[in-house]
Amino acid sequence: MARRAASLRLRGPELEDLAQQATDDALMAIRTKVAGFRGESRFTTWAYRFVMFEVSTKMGRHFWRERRASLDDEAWERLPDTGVDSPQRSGEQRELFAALRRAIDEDLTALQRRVFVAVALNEVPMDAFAREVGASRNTVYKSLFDARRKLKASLGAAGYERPYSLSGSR
Amino acid sequence: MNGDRGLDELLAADPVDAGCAAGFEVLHQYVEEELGGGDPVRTQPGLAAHLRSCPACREDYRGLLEAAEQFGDARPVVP
Repeated sequence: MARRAASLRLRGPELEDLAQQATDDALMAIRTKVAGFRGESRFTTWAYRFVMFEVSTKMGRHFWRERRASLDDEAWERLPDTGVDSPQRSGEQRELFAALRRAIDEDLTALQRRVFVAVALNEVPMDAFAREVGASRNTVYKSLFDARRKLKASLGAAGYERPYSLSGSR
Repeated sequence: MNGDRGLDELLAADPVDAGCAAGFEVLHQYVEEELGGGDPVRTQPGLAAHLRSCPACREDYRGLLEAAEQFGDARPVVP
């Protein structure tokens, strides 16, 4: 938890409080699930999973207090800089990103677009996003997965294939 | 967004990806196998693919690996 806390500038009593909440909720989950422990690993490793999950959930809750990132900020200027080193490559990169932008606008559902922009582009933690939209992590990931798959298909239909090389894959 | 992340990573969607819920069910086995010197990437390709693509589960995996390595043999303290 201390490792993750640093990125959220969590410290002191607030960190201790969050750790206590995660511990309490993890213990409750372990008590509920313990009958399902089948000895496939050490008990501690089995049980620590619930701790990790609760820590992620609590961190996701805290995220919004520290960083009010817009879920709908498209942040196109932050698309990956893959090392453009010539005018021609720069043009190819622009074409590729224009195709990606079109695909995001036209081919994704509203939820898929929102998830992709927030989680993939803006690096909003999935648990924070899940909390914001009232969904489970699994549901958010499924939307992200579907969005990525659709975007790859759209780029493929436009003549772009992985790896998305700047040397011109069309 | 980090500058060193490429478009390939942004669009990673492996068809064998197990997903968060299914991955959570076997994450402890995956970690134990790795700590035991095994190759969970080969034996559990669905979870391995998921951990490559899901930042949340990857973070849980890292935490679990660290906890199991450091405190895996912890025993209850009997007063």
